[in-house]
Amino acid sequence: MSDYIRRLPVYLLIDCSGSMHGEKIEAVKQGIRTLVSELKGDPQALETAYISVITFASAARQEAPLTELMLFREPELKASGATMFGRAVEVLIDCMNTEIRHSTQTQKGDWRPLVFILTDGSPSDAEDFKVNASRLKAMKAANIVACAAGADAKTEYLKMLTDNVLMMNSLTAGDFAQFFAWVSGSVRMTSKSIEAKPGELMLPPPPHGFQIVP
Amino acid sequence: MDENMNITATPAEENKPEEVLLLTDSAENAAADEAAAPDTDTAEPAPEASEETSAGTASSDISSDVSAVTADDDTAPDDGKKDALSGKDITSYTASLWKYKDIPQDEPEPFPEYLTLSEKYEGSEIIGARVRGKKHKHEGTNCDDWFEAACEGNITFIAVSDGAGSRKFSRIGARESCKAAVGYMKHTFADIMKDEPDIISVLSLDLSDEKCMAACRRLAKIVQDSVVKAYNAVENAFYDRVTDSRYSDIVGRKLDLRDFSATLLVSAVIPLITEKSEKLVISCQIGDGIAALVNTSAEYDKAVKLMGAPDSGEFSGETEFITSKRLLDGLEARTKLSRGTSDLLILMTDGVADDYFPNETRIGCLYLDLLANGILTVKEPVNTDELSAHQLDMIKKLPEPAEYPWVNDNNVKIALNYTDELCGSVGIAPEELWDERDIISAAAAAVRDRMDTDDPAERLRIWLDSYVRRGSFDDRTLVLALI
Repeated sequence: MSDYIRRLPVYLLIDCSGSMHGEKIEAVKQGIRTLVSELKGDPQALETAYISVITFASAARQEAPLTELMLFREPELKASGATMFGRAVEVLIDCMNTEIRHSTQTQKGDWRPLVFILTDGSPSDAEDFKVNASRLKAMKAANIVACAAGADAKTEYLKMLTDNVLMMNSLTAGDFAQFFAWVSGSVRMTSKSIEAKPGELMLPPPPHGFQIVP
Repeated sequence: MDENMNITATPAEENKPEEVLLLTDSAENAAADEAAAPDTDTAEPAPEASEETSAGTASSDISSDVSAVTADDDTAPDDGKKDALSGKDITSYTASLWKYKDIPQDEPEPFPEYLTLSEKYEGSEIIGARVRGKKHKHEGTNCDDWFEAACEGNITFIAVSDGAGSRKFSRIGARESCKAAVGYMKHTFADIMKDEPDIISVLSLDLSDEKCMAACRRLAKIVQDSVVKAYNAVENAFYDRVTDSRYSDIVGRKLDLRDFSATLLVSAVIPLITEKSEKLVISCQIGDGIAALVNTSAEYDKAVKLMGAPDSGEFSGETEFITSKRLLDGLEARTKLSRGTSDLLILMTDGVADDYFPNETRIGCLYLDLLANGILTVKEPVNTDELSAHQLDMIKKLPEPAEYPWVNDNNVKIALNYTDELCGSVGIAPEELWDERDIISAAAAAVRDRMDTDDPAERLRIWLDSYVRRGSFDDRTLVLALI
């Protein structure tokens, strides 16, 4: 009974399409490792954060179910194929529907989930994407931050998902590392300002070389 | 109590199934009418004049208790995965990661680390404490909770408030709203007692008497008005500071009323002149936190009555604040009245209430924790020679109090009792422990000896400051009124 806790669910949606192959996907993997290890030093994150990874390429799937930070293992990511981004958003919606606990008379809900999305392209399934993006936005069930990695990433799609869109100008390993360091800071800041009302997402300023897409 | 056992509850489905109106037998019709037609010609509350010791809901309470407890046990810690960690696995690991940073002194109006209150009023004894949450200690930020208590004659007034964590000056809203609400109730009740010396006699009439109900409604209106006064005070606090650059510099923009967002929970306890020495308790609430009445000598399932419904959103931590002026139009629905023989009123902010959720079934465990840590004492100490062999066996099985490093100084270890652990070691449910007050006393002795203070408020402070529960790191405020 005393083990009952309110979780801060954190979903990472990662583009693993062919264009991410090579140095980029390696940088993402390293970034996730660093993210997890940084969060493991933070008592608030340790007591509340649960992490899930959803990838999308020619298919979309949940690589790691929502897992308690302490027990989280980075999934093996490989990059190849198309960018079924719309399908990934559908998977995210399904996962949130089954994994997230809402407040009821007898159950304290989770904290409002955080979703971080990273893509370097545009959806191969654009029509599906539009449908699912508007579904997700209408749910208002998460604080979503999307990052467009490089000039080929179409921010107009990301804007359909959330108002919080970041643009990463260059694509070095260092830039990816910075992105995940920022995600880590955002998770910690959220677990700190956890009483914030919906829509009052407080995030640290984006790292150097990143722009907020208006 | 005997009389109460004959009380019949209003069939819940008749009016508000979710509210389960419990009424004294004689008042059943009058108050049912009241609930059915709350909108009489004045802006009056629909008093839920209730009798918290009624046997009426016993059967439904028991069944919901059992299902809730079972469900909780099954969900540990997540989705039934075998490799999941227990709360204790995590908290033992994070204990040394929590850092302590002082309250920032360069910000205007720093709040003290602790507040305690230990007062014997004419009509009650107050034991209150509020501590800065681990989250705030870790970050070196101010505590945002506040509480106030006062009395007028034998009437007791209490207010607790929790400033919004996301708002920089919410603590000021919390303090100002508590002070204004309690101050207003105190002087307005003083006026009414002076102008109408027989009002307590009228309130003590049978609940079916319209004069009694009218008096209840008038006092309920005062309690509601105290919430309006609290809003005004917060608004004034905002206007007093809006041009002061020491405040705007910190938020990096012009101040907004919402920077003072805070919840508010107020209660008034009015002792009546009835055969059973009943008390009329009136509570009104905006936001989260819990007010609960406890009849400490009733059975576990019938002992607790919640005096309000906290505002909560779809997700945790989402609630309403007094700075939302529109809420002031609906205070009638946020008011609860109870007439009965409960002997303890507990007010708490969500930092404590969330640790005892679902509150209906878990506030009893909060009371057990207060006993087991020597904050409250069992009224009649029992001679250990009179204990049964079974009871002595249970005492033998009591665990050592669980030690955690104190956040303020990791070298200091604080040992406390946890009801769930006591129950686990002894092998009984909280419902059974509830009836074994001698066992709890025995457990409490071990903690009390280490606390080195005779002041119950100080013991409450130590307990609030140091009990460890996974994911619980908010400010904690708890006010106990022994009534």
